[in-house]
Amino acid sequence: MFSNRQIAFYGSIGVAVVGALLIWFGAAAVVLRLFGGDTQAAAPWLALAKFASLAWVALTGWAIAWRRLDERQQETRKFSWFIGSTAAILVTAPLMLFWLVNGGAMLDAVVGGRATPGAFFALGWATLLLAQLLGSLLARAERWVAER
Amino acid sequence: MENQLRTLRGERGWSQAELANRLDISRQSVNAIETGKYDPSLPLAFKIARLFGQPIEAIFRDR
Repeated sequence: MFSNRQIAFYGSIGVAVVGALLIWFGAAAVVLRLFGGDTQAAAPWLALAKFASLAWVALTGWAIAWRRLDERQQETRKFSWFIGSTAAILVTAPLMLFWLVNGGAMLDAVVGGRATPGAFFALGWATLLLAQLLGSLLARAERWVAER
Repeated sequence: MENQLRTLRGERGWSQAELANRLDISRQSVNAIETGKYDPSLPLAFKIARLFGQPIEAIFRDR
């Protein structure tokens, strides 16, 4: 049985996800209509719609869900993000050296035929974010085990 | 810190979930406080004290 707190929490997640889908598909429908279905011409605006959608998820998912957490849950997340993501940055830092020295071919393979500066930047950003999320998850798991 | 939360809750016949609802915190947090694995903030400690009608020092003690 869910408590009121849990219902409110999952409800806020639902608002974030449904809102994002509405923004994404709603904006896409409007943009495509404006450009007469020309997806090439509409591509930058479609990308902007995706960005707005993701921004909505990030803002609502973070702001609303955060306020629904009690103080211990907030403390746990602060701890796990600080410790886990900091450790992840330190652990993955040597990768930079590897990539600088001989990682070019490997990165080319990852981005495929789209080896542009933008693709490499996005890859680096996503890799670091992934490492931070993973580190945070591990730190959270440690706290969960410790508090059982 | 040691606390009397489990005893006070037991006296009233409340479950952890019921106490959590009254304090507007999660059941896991009630459990963590009861087992001494989490020390509540002062605002939450005051809230607990008000709920049980006792001074804070009667519920929480330094080990």
